[in-house]
Amino acid sequence: MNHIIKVMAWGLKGGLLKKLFIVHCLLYNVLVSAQTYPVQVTPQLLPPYGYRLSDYQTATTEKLFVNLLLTDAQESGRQVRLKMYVQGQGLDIRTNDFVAGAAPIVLDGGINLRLTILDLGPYFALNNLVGIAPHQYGRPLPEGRYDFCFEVYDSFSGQRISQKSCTSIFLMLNDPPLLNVPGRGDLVTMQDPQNILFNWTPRHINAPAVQYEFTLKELWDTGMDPQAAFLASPPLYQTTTFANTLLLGPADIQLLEGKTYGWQVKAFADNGLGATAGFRNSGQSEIYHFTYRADCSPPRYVISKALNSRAMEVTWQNGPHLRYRVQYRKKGYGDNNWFGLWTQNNKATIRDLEEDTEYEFRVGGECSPNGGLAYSAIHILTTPKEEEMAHYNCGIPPELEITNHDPLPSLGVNQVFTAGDFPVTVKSVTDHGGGRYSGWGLINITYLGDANVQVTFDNIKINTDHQMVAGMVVASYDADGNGIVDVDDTIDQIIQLLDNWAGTPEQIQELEGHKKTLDNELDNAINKTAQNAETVAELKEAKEDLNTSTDALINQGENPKGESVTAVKTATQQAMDRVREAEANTNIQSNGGSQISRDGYFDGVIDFIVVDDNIEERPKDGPELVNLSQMLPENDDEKYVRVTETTLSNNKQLLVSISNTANIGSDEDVAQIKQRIASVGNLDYMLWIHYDLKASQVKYKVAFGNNYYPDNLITQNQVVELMNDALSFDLRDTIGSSIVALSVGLDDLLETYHDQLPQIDTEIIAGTTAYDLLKFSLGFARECGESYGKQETGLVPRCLWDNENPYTLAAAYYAGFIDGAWEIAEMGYGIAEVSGAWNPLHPVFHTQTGMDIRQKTMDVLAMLKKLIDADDSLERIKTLVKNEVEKYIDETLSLDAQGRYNQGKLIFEVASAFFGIAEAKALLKTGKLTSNLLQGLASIPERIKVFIKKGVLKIEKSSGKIGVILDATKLGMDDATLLASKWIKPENGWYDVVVHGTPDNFMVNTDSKWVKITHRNLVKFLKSMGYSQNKPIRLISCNTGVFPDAIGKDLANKIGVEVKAPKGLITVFEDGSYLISNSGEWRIFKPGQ
Amino acid sequence: MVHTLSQIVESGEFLNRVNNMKALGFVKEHENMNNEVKNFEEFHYSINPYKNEILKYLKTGETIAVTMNIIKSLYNGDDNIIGGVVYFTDGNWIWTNYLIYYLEKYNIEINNEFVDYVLGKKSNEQKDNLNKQKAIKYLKEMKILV
Repeated sequence: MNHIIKVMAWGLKGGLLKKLFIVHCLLYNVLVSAQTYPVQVTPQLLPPYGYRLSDYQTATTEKLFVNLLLTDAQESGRQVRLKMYVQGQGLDIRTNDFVAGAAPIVLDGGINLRLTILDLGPYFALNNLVGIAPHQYGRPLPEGRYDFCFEVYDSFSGQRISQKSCTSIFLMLNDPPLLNVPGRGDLVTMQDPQNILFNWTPRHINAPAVQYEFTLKELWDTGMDPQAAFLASPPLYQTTTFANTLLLGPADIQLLEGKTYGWQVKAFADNGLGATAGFRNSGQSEIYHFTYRADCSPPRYVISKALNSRAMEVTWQNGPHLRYRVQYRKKGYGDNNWFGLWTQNNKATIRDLEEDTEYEFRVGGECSPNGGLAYSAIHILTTPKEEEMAHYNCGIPPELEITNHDPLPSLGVNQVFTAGDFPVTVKSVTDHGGGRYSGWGLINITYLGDANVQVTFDNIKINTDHQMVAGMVVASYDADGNGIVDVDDTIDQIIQLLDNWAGTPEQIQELEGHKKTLDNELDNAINKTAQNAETVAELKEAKEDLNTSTDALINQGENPKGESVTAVKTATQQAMDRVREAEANTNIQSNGGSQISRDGYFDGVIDFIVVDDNIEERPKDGPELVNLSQMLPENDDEKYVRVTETTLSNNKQLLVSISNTANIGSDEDVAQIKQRIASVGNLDYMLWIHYDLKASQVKYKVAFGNNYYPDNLITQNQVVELMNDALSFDLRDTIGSSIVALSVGLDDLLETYHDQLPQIDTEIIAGTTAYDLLKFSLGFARECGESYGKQETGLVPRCLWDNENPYTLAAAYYAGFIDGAWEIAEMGYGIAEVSGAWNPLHPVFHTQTGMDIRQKTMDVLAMLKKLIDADDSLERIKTLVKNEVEKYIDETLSLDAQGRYNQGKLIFEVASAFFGIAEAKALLKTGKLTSNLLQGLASIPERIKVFIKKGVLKIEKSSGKIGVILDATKLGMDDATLLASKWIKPENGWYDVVVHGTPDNFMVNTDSKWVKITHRNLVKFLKSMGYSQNKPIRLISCNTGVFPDAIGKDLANKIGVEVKAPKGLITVFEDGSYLISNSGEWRIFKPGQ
Repeated sequence: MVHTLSQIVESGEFLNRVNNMKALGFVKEHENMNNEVKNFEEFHYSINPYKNEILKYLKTGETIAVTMNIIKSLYNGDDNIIGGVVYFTDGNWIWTNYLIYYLEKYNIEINNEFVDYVLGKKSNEQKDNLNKQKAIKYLKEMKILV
């Protein structure tokens, strides 16, 4: 302004031109001064930014500064006021012209005035702002960019004397945490002591030092929506934590069984003076609720395996659940969006997975209809890569979903297409157009040792993914062996060819082809009978003859000689005779089931056809003990008896002799051996194997001193019996080596037992000798070789105990016990390995794995003994168990093998219920009991009844009958059902369901209360108990067939099978018979009628 | 009371005599049988000085049959479900689980002959030579013609 005045004063001295000039200059000056305001204003905002405008009014930390500078150094004491704008996201908030409560601002030229939040607070007061509604004021600003701008006005003139100067910030809200476990609506199994884990996932990005306020509320009103109930309930437990996990342990508030609880987590970032970060929904998570129950435990022993790169199978142990839900999701996608499927048995297959991807899954069990799911822990499985799946499930039809039907435009030789899950490499192809092809190719079958099988295809359709979508690929190799070269056919063809031999090039080519075929056959035979030098030599000779004669004939071309033709015929015939002989020998040699007899002296006499080359110790790559061929004299006419001697493991002496026509009775060396055997030392063991070449027999004799096996663990006769038993069944290798392997293997087994037997509870092995146990062990392989593959669960082969003979009485019991122990300790061996581990003639037996398996089985038994010995109170508990169990268990002993097996398992379950799996493992590892374990033991009495009831249920199931009321954990039990289930004689072809009935309902007893159940519930229950859907049902249930529309009809319709129900009251008698009142008849209900 | 032979046969009393088995406390409403059994309202209730001994004896009987129905207490004001009928025997007498229930809760009358019989028994005597088959046969005869 001063500047303008001066110019004007100067202008008064000039004329018009000057005036014009002045006006021009004046205008110019005014324009120039619009860009150079006298005051500079610079706002500055510091993070963390406040999310609410009200934060700035009350803030105590320095978040906002405004620097003011009056540029004219000459001026001082200029009074100004500020105007503030907050703009962005559709908001245009500004201060009033007069800001109430703001301190007057006086600027002095050249001196920077710094206004802090304390000065600026009033500018953020609601009453000084326009453009914002009161209800918005206290809330966080919407996310996005905001400009905080300031202008300076002269207090007196009201003129703006600064630019509008802004600072921009970006406000971003954080997401509240995501709750993980327990999930919404889950069942949480009650544990004593209390141990409930809550877990959530933080989702904030730009918030420092976030804390969580955890709130737990009991939901009294279970009829209303749990989230609404949560909001209406007072907090039961509240705490803050920095961690994303909270454990509600024994020292915290105790939750009540059967109640429903809701929980929520609120995230906040606060430095004590104010929030330092913004959260959506005030940082509050969703509200989850769970029910705390003692009577519904989650499914146990959840195991998974990848079926292929896109599917996995999850299995678990059937429990008292009505149905199961398997949930899965990709790992890392941690929101609550699980994929899931329902199932009513103990396994589920999850399909459509991605290859080479980690998946999380868990299994929930539902114990009462809509009663919530008790979930297992989350497990992880990584699907394999496509190329890792190099094995095939033989006999399982591939379940392929082919959606691509676009025809493959061309297919060339050596290209590969897939037929089902087999890749076919094309070797010859004809294109019919439209994606249709014929020809032949090869399939490589991994499980046949990478064998290539020739296949043909005729007019099959292939899509652009190289998948066969229509048609059939046929293996040239079929069950009748048509694909295999038939040697007899070849001979016939050769003879026919030679009969008309003229030596034409076509004939020569054909003969060469046949010769090649026969050569292959001869080579195969030579390789198979490598141990028998004589046969091999004959085969080689035959091959040579064949080649020589054939070559000679071919060389004669179109002028063949008659004798050459005959020579080829003879050579062909001889070659084939040799092949057949060799095959016959091989078959006999590899055929088990040798007859083992005993003579007056030897313990075992075994006929042989091919003599062994040597005797070696297992494992197979072990040292050669005796080279038998070296024992033979060069001159075969000589009468001889040769003897050699070596030492086996465990300091056993092995004596081997071989004789031809000589009489061993008069041989001095033999007499000496007999003498040594007769006077075997107290601590010595001698095994004599004699090869009698004249009689083609191998004979053996075992002798050991009284103290060789401590405590008279086993007698000589018992050892021989066991060895002969095993040899007669599983003579899979050379005889001598097998005898040695058995002799050593039995020692290993005995050692395992001897070390462990004293540790094992005497009640478990009562009346069982080491011999019994060994016989049982050897039986694994003996009786069960083939049935392993068919067995779905259990470690011990079913065939070993699932039949009725006196020997298996104990076997079933142990089998159950071992299975129970094995399952709980999760030792992770395959059933084949386990069978091998107990069979001295199996390769696994002699490996470290075999030893580990045996050791661990015994460890499990020993563990139980330790548990029982651990506490005096256990004596009382044992008595209680015994008393409670006896009245059911003793009776069931007479039922069947399955009953005894279940009993064995039950005993282990009873024991293992007192400690966790982790405890069991720790005990296995360290052999020490922990205080937790002892605490667990103290809680045995309360749990016993539950287990007993469960056990009874299983036993009844095993008899092909089901007592509905025996579902102890849910339905309880009553005497009538229990007795009727036990007594009723099964009727062939019918599945018995024993339950109290009326014309309209079934009735079950649960915890001493009677409850009606519908036919739907019954169907669910039956399925959960493993009822297989196709068997007709006989209802042992009064009046359920009294009317044509009684409940039996509903059951038949629901379950889809024929149901037979009594027309009146049904009484079951102790002798297994029954009576139906009124007419004494059954009514048959057919589904859909 | 004098019966003709045919009356005895028709009533089933004949079988009782032949088998030398006796039914104790059978209630008509709970049973479906051809024998003469009393209605529930015909029973009397009085405290028996030997109640405990009798109860103990009744509870240790051998089970021989069950009916898979549901019976409710007939006692006035008591709607409890007793469950299915379970039949017990000691080889000479047959009784049911509902008799035990009514005796335990309401002191239902017990045949004096049975009381004397129980009191006269030595411990452990009851199970000796127990012929379940005889009892089952008797019970079947009672029910079979219905």
